[in-house]
Amino acid sequence: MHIADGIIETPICIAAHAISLALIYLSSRKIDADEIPKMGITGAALFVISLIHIPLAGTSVHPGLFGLAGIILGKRTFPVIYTVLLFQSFIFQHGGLMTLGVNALNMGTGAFLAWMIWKQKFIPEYLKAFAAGFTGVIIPSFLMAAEFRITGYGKGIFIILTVYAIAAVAEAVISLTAVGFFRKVKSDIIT
Amino acid sequence: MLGFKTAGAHGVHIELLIHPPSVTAKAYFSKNAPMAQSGISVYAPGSEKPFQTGNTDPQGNFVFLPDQAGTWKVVADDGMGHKGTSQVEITKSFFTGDEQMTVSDTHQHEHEQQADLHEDHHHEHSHEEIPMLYKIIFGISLIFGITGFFYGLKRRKS
Repeated sequence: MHIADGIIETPICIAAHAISLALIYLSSRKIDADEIPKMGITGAALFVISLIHIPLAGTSVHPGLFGLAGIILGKRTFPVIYTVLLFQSFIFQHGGLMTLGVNALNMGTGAFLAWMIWKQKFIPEYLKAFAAGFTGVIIPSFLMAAEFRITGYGKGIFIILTVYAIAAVAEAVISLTAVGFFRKVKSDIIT
Repeated sequence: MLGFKTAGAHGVHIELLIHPPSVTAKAYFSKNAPMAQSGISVYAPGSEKPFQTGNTDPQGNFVFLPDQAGTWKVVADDGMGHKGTSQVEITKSFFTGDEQMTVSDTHQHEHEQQADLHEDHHHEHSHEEIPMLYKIIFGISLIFGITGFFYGLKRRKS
């Protein structure tokens, strides 16, 4: 899901960087000091979890926890995702620096929609946790496939969505488990 | 013995094994995750047009036969957004049969490294990759450092 450099056209990458920086500003406004440690710990989890990769259908997928991040951090998720992707790119050569904005927007959208699902009052909590985890993966992969289609790159939307749907189900289970765990040990960590 | 480097991250790694008259590109995500059936493009020195294209085998290998001296470029791409580039310097001795088998290893998306055929194995080992554990600790330290900085800043303001 981390798009490497040299795939998306440069003007799109620059525009995505600009939008990302604006979103970082908007989503960091009026932040409370007590929210910052939670952002740091969630960021560290996101940073490390991507190292668990699973070979699948000739490619490699890994958990991202974007849905869970959306549940925990809400509107503060985007700066965390952007920072984590920046460090993953620098330290692990995972994704590219030019495509950082595109990757952040893809994954940030997934996390944002996961948060939207999580905020719904009429859905049972276990269902929301599952759906948020699934959304956190499937939406970024859909956006990635759409971008590939625009640039004429890659294996096509059906193959990409099929591969990432498997990963999305796994993440949905992780989110469900994590929410259940948080409710037992520290309920106030999730809003 | 040949020095193979290992890495554990999700980025694309390409090892180039030089065994005249051919070069084998081994593309992988990590030691146990080869880039199977992925697209490979080989570029001759100074050429923008691919010299050869094809797919890796199930173990992530692809063999090609350079026909001239110079810097050859290999690009591996799985069509799912994972792409890596590697370069190798082929000298004239490659074609005279004086060359010994050696290995060049890169592990980056866009940064490109070169390995000279005349480099001995001690030199091959001299730029060993930083261990994955150190990278993880470094990354987490950075994240916690930034968190602490902004937390302190916000606390002082309030």
